Amino acid sequence: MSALLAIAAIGLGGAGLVALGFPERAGTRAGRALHGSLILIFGLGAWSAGYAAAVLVFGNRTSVLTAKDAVLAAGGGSLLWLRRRRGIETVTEEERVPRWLIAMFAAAAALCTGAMIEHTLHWPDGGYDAWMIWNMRARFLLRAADFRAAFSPHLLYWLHQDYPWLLPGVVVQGAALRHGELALVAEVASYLFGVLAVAVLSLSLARLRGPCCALLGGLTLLSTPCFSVFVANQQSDVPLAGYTVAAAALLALALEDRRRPPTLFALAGFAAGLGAWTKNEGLLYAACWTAALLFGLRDLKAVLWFVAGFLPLGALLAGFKLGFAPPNDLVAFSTAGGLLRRALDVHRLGEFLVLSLRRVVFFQNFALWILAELFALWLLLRARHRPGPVGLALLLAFAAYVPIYLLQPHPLGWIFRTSVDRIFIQLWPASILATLSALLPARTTAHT
Amino acid sequence: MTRQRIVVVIAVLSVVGMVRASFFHFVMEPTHPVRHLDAEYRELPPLLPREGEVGFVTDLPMDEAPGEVNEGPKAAYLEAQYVVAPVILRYGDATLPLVVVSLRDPDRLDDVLRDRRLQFVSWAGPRVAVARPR
Repeated sequence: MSALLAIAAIGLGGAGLVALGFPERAGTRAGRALHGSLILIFGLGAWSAGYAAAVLVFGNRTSVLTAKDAVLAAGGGSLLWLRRRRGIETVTEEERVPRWLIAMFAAAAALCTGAMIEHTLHWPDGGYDAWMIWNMRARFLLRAADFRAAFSPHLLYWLHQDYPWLLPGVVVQGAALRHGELALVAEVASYLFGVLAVAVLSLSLARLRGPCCALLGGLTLLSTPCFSVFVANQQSDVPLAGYTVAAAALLALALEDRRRPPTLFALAGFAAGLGAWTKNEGLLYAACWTAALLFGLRDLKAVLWFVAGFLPLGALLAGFKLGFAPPNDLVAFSTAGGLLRRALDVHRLGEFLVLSLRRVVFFQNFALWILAELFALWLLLRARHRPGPVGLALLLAFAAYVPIYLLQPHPLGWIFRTSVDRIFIQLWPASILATLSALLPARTTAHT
Repeated sequence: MTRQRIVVVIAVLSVVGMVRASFFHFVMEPTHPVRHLDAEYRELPPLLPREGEVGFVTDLPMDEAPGEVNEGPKAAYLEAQYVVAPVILRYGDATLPLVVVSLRDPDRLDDVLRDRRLQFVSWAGPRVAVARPR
């Protein structure tokens, strides 16, 4: 594989998608930075999804992967050329930002980086799920003569062979560019996705609510104690958080634009699709976005554009799940009788409520942020604020986990303890965006 | 709540979060041991084929009833599997030509070999051995 071709595939592929999605070019520094962040997160996602599609269809050969990068670069370049006559957006209403807030944001970013480096030095293989699922998958894909070994039903189900593989796809291609050397690739990829999650959150808030709100949003995420740990852990949860907040941001931008640009809905759908290709939970979130648009917006055209954007990744996911992946453990270990028994188990519901309440005040991971979020939701409820499709989708996603936890076949306390913080971090950046957008008034945007 | 109050509340909560993160990462965590799985299991891969399937057993109970999770043997399996990938370790299978034996207590090697009808091939570290069926 060629590093230059890979960079072209990521850069041009992402730039083409962003050019296709946004009706205008960015007119401000923050706008250009937002587009740049989206180019990188979409470019990496398309690069990895393209890798998976090429491997599943044509096999894991260097010539196939080189051709895939060439197609991505050419496709992205063509989209850029086709959209070259777009106008430039102008954003009015400037806002002064206190210097102390900028200093706090910088301090939080520096602290988060330091914490991530410290944690990585202690756990060079990453957190539990990183080495047992994601980095393990990358090792199989990189080293096995037949890529199907990574999804063998003879492996223990704890390897979750059915999980999609956006992050391993990035790591394995990064390692291939280093002639098979995996060292530091997963760490760099993880840090990059962490930076992109913060950047997409902050810069989309800058576009929606101004620079002060942007810094507040970024500061909230950076000072959530478990964020740096999850970035360092090299798991798929932070990349999924990045795609979830990208979908939320694009939907918010589309919904607050009186023209409701259909291509922005499609790009949001593509972000949701990349989330679904990152982790199984991403599929749930894509369903929540669709349901929220359908019932909260009542605009069928917008829903169809969103679904159209999701479709390429949905097809890849369906192809992998139906053609290569063994059954998911939650499905394989569930029986109709077991589901009914767990659904009617009042003790289990009580246990779930106690576990959830304890997590709300789990200071070492969340400090006081969950309490603050609940307080903000109470304020919005008291002000009779009606959640928009973005907020509604996130509420649906959190609510969906109640039956999922109650009905799944594993011991409730064990699975809750090992998964709930990761689910929180997947949805936290998008929740910050939705909450701050609701608490603070909208800015005016002019288009030329 | 006014915009100014929101700014102040977020700033204060951020300081709380940053203090907590600093304490954990720069005071508590440096005292924790560092783990590097490839180094811990470095003697194992040279004893196995480059690809294919190998058995995996431990001296811990490996069976579990539905609805139970037996973390100990599964963690040992996953650590070894991570290091030897793309070799596929078959959990609880002692019938393949080569079998990795993971031991919580190295003194129990003979018991495991006898119970699983295995023959010792080589040690692959202080708590890992390789065996084959008798």
